[in-house]
Amino acid sequence: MNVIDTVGFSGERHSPDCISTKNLLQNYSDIGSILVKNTRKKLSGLSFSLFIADSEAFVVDNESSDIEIDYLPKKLYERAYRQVDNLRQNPANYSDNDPNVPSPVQETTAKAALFKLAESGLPEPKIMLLDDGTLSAYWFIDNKNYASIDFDASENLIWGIDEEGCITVGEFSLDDTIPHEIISLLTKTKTIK
Amino acid sequence: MNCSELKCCEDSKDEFARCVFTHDVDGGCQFESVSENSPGPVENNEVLLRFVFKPHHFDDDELNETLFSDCFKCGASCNRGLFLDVDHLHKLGYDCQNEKRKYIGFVRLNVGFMRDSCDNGIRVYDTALPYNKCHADVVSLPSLPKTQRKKVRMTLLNHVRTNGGVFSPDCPL
Repeated sequence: MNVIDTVGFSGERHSPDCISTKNLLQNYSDIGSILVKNTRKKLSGLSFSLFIADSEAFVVDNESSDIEIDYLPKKLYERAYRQVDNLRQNPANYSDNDPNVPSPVQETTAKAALFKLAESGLPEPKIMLLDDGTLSAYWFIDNKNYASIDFDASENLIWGIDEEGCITVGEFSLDDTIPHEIISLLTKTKTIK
Repeated sequence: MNCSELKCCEDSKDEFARCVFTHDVDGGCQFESVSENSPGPVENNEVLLRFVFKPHHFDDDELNETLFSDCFKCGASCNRGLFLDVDHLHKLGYDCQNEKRKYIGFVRLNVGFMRDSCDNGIRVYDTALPYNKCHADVVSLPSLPKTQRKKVRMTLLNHVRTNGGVFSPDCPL
């Protein structure tokens, strides 16, 4: 493992609250890949170090010297993160005209939103690029239903679900909980593409 | 209004949809022919066919909402199925592909369904061209709130997924 950076908490004991994923996300959101809830339990009351290596985060338990590589958002959503990078480098979609290149703010919003989705345990989405440079997640479910969230950088995130032809849309903030309609549709289904 | 004035919107390119909604407030011009090249206004019982082009570097084979992004800008170009057979359509599709995009087939859209959807926020206009008399455009109001624009895109995506499409002979998805 090629460790290129070390951040935070090394050699100290922390209460679970101190090391909540939310805190880590707020403190290190520029990194884009920190640990998620599965790791939180292992870290409670322990001292640990967090290493950033090759764009992924690794947690090291200082007491036992065991290295735990847990379920990280970027690992869980590897394809989605890659699609974001690809669409930034080669912006394209199905419209007749070329879409805008995602701005740094649009890209950051998308990656922060992906982190939130992964942390919530939702299945990995596919990514599309809207004409104005907005990145958007989407899921086809059981070959008949559909859900999608536009990671709008200027306003709230725009979401929509299509459940057997009944379309519902809405918006929510990155700080809000994910709308229950989306969670419900994505967690009760069998096959997601 | 004089619907022939809509001809000027064809020069607006990315502002075509906005121009159409500005000049044709109540949508009445959907039922008039606005081009001397046209076989007539687009009727509700017609089926429109929209080509699908896949960017060469795409790593995704699933159609998505972006197929209808053009509705809010330059209009989503379609062909009127009543006047074209499948082989002719494929030829038109191949003629439109370029080094960036590969033609992979077309999807079907029912005109009456579109006009009745999303609180009449989707319109269909005869936009016949000198070199393609079967050309039509699907447009929606660009100033709609983002949630409503999403609903338009999702409604159209659901519609083509329900209706199905036809792959080009040498390029199945």
